[in-house]
Amino acid sequence: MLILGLSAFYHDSAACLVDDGRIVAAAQEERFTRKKHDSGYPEHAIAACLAAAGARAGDIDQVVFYDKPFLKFERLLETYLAFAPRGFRSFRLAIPVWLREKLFQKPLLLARLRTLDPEVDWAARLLFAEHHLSHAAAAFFPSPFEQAVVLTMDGVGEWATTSVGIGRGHNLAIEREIHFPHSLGLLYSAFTYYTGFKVNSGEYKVMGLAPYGEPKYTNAILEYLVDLKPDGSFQLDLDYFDYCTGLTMTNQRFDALFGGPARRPDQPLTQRHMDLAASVQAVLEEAVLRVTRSLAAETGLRNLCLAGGVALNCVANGKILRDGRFERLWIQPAAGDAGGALGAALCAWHLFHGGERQADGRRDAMSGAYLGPAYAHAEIERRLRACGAVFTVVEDDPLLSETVDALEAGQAVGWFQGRMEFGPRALGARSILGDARSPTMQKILNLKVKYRESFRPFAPSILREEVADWFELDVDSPYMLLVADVVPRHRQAMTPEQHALFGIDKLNVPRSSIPAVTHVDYSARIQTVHADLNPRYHALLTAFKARTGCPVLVNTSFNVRGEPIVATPEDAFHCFMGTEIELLVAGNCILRKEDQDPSLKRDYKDAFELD
Amino acid sequence: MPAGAGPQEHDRTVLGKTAIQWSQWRKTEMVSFLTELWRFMAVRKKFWLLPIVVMMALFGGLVVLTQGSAVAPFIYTVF
Repeated sequence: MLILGLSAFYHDSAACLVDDGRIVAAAQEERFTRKKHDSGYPEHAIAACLAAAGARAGDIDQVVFYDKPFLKFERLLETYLAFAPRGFRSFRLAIPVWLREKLFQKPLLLARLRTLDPEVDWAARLLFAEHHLSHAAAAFFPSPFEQAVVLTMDGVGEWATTSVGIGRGHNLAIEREIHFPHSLGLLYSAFTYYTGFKVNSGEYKVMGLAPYGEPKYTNAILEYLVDLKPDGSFQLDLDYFDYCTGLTMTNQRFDALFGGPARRPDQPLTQRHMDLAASVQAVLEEAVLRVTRSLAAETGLRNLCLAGGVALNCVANGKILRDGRFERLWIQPAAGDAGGALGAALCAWHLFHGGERQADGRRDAMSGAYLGPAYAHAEIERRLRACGAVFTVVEDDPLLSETVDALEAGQAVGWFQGRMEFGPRALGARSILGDARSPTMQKILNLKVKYRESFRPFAPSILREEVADWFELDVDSPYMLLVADVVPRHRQAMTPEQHALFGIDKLNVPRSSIPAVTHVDYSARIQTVHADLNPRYHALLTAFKARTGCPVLVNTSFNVRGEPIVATPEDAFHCFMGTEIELLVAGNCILRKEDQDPSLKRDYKDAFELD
Repeated sequence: MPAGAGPQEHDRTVLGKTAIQWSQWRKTEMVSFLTELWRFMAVRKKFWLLPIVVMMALFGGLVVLTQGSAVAPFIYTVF
């Protein structure tokens, strides 16, 4: 049975194809339309999934949407009613859109599905799954566990903002929920807004900013904004927030509590913003740990699965793991709404059709998240040639050796190989790589390649078999969703003068023998690389280690700030030509910047709206 | 509204080019929509929402009948 899962119309549209419970393909629409967080109907993603599966639209037995529009509309109406007459402006803007478009997602989906194949009775094949059930399904069903506690947390779905479920075999039941407007995700987003970043995409910047600050405002948050109970349940004081009735996240009382208005994006970041980031991060971690401790004690289960946007907070995830209440932790790599497409499809297979599930306790069912389109070598060559690229084609061994040469020389390398990743992280299929030992690599990549804020850290890829020698971690982390510290013997102590530095100035102080991937608090967001999941990337790291003794590389997504990660060889070439990436390795093609026609260079820095 | 903080104006309908015209609706789909809405209110025991929905449909109809694009801000909790 072929099931198509869809996520669309809010943010991060995506499609996923599941064949008899096996995830065969998944992709986000933004990669094809080149519009970050694209919310449109995922027609390109659907086409890519069908192509990957070698299927036709008529072969699809079931289509499942990841959300229930009527339930969301009910929440909107009741919220406006509860706050009336406040919120009239928001109401006036929102309701016409709902009455014109959003309420009618079923006929809209049917109209679009008919364009795939007009002969099919799509109405008979279309199902809807609840938002948090989709998240929970994406967290549990692909996990390696036979049974687990499933915790999902995000901004808001229909009503739920936090849900707890129990997964056993092919069954999954949501046991309890916390409802809107009380939301940890929205609390974090409020601080994202207040510190001057874009809501729903800048949250990871707040997380990256937090280690520069002191959690000075934690008590204020816990005293005034959040009533956090011992079991981790919580209630927000809505007097400080504007999102129920207004067009912003926070209001004047929030400003007064934290000593000033929200930062505008063009204003500089100060120590106060770093302290605010540190504070909300500390509160989030405390809340999540209280929930997980309470669930571990209550259920007696030893496995935990996470999904929802909050599960992308890898610092909190690392703390859950180290807390040890759960023996094993698995996090859906597409934890945000894109992963809802995957969860919705799996809901239909396991819950609606009762399809069986195999969990071996070892490997998950995500295939390393390499679920997107791949390009054969001949196709890569053809496409690059059509772009006017100058390249050489080499065998595997010299390919690795030349790539290691470039990395060792401190060059930024574009790495385009195999199937595209599903989810927000580049995992060695659409990556920019660098030498983690270089003290200047972080700055070079941020300012000359990615064109992004200088405070943002980079993540390491490391051979799985070496991870415990370099980081305080000895479990699989193939999706870059766990943060752990560099082990003490690789750290470098700071001088008293360096200790006295504040905030971003500390970034320039090397903290370890792999400074490009070591944050100011010695932490790193780790990707373990596995020979069976990505053999070519594993071979590259092995070759780099053989040459340098270091099994670690900087791995950042193959894009610039505000751009979706590259999908095609053409995207990769354009990004290569628009930035200071010096070497592009696409399949077995090697492109050197100095060989390229200078007239093909693009102004890439301002080509994308900032995220 | 500055880019990067909170709500931003979208210069297109929320569903973009995916929005459909009323003429694309099949009659059966309209009936099915109303039936499902009724069932939804029954299951959720939310018949008290009915007068509000009817009033909104009447006033909202004005917007729909204009056939203009429904431009809306991005509000996290609404969209």
